[in-house]
Amino acid sequence: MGSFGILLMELRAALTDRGVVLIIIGGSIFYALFYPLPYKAQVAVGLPVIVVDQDGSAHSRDLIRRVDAVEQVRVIEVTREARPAETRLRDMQAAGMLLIPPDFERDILRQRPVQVGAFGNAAFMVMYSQTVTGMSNAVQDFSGEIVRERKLAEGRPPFLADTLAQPLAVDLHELFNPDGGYANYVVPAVLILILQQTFLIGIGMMGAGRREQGLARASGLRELLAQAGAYVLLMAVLLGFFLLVVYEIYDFPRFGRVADVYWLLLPFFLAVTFLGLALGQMFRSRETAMQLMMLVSVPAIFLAGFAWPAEIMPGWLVAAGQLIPSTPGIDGFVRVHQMGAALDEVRPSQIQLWVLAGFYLLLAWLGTRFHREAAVS
Amino acid sequence: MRTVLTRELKRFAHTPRLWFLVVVAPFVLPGLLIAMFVERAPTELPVAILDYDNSHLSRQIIRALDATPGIRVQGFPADLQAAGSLVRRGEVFAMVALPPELERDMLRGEAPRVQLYYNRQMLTAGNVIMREVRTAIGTVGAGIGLAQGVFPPVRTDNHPLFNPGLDFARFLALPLIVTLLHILVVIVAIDVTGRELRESTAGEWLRAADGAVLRALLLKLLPYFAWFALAGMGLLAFSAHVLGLEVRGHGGLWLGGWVVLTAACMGLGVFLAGLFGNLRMATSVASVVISPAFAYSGMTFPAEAMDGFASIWSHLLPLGHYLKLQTGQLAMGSSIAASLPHLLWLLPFVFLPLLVIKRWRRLLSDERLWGAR
Repeated sequence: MGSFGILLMELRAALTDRGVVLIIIGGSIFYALFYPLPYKAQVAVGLPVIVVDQDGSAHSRDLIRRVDAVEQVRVIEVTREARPAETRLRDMQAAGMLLIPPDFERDILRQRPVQVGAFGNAAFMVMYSQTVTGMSNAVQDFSGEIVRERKLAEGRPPFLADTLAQPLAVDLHELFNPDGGYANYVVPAVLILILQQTFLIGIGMMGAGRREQGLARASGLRELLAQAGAYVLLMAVLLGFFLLVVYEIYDFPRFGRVADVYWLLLPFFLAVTFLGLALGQMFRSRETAMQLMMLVSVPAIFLAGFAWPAEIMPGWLVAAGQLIPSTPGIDGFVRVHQMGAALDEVRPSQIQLWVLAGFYLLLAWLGTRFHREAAVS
Repeated sequence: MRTVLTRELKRFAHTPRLWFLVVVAPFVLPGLLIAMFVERAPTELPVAILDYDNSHLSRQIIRALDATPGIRVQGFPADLQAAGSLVRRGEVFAMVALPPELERDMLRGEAPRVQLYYNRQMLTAGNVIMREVRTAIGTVGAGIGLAQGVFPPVRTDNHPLFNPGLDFARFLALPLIVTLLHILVVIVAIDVTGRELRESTAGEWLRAADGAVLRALLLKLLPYFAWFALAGMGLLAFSAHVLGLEVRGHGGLWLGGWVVLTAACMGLGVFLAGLFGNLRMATSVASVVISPAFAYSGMTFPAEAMDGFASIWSHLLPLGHYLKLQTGQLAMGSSIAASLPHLLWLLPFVFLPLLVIKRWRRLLSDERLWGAR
């Protein structure tokens, strides 16, 4: 049979196997749509905070109004007592607390420096940074207003006030992911992982199924490559669905060229497919692939190094993670598609993907030879 | 009663897959996560500098940036173009541009502005850099301002409660370990029950239990439940210790909660296995339910900020409830009253299989339902 015939046969075999279709087509699409849902809001806003106002003055009430007005937090309670407020923080009924000290107004009027306390629940990263940023912004705003009033009272032009409130300031320019969206940050990487995991399961199930039923499996290099072509084709189509439909639905930003993305990920598709074919020769039962991949997903996403800079992990673990196709796959994809990197700027990831594709091809091929010899003897 | 148990132990002993899922994986996977997150070496994220002023002040700012714990100055690219490429290549996470005439403007009180271009696609790293640069520049500015007799009237003093070192990695590791263990429990519950149908050994199983369906299920799961409950408690306590997390609330409630979560996961697994009567299908559906559970748990993105379906689903899944209980009792010293509702929410999951007990009876006695793949 010609190579193209084998490819078509494999495609047909995969698409008529209900279990496999459910995972590689149904699973990919479902996870790609379901996984971003919790992050749809992109930015956490309106987190509940308690204000402990130990001053109870016009100035403190003005500050409270400003805190309530920032988008990150909303004031759910104003109290004089710090203790009960802390208890509510411990019991997770509030995300943060602003402490306005006694003599707040008096000290401001006497032009003494005043500090207010911004307390946030730092057991949760996003919650902490949002609440504390929100409260600090409100305080900074309030502080600027005080300077402005003072200068006006002194008869100086108010525009100088900003200068005096902050002698040296920072302008923030976001490169990529302009609104700091959480979904924008997590989902592109996860989509690549979804593609890898569902196809490793699907291809593994095909292999294990053939083994269970005692059917012949790929025996030569040509046959292996032709079979792989079927899955590469399917992955390419699903990636197209992700980039067109999922990106459109959730409105994720994109900076890169689609052609670059495909050219970069071609060796990723190949590496995943060959790894799947190699693993499929090891599984005794079809469900094992699924069970194993459910467990691998969590470590794999962190080893990819996008969620957490890889610098904090021990070197041997980072090195082991480089064997997983998603590690360079995610890195390259995020840089090209989310950050608009040119292909030569992601060359190391690209080369690594080709090396992995070659390595897993060798593994899958050796596997078929081993099995053929086992079958003969 | 003994027969179901001894039969199960024999089956277990002869199944390498179960050895892996029950004995090896519960230790290897958490070990991997601990290794990933335990090193508390300060991460210094690389930042490039574009110094167009080249003055005493600009050098002072560069030194201040380099001295912050979160970032280190690496590289002085020629222009913005070259700096952008460094960011896209991943060699630096941000660039700080110090404009010409920075020092002169500063001394004239014209409030010059430092430009920070940072990679927010890498949100965690980007936010650390933003915070550090703002603090460093703010401190330099305040120092000079003070010398000129100017200071901001009101300042904020930040207090990261429960995690003073802002050491988020450690706070993520334990929830991830729980996530993996809970996936394992569901997988095993489905595997040991569903496989009897797939391999058409269900009749033998039911006979060993003298035809009592509930007894067949309970006794089969008992050894796995006991093992995962005990080993899980040990693993969680050990992991917390290694990660340097001390119990600020009630340790008993935290670990006891794990026992209830184990039972809830077994309940969910047996429910799905019974509902579909097909090992592969039940495992697929379980994967849909529990694989994304961490994303829905509110441990990273707050559950308060989810809406519609995501919010409902987040409150429905057992994992998020247990993780809130755990964080409350372990890190925050929550009151028992605040954590108890989370524990109670897990209980209905334990009894989920009762909803499909009739179906289980048919599955175990009707040969035509066996062997589905």
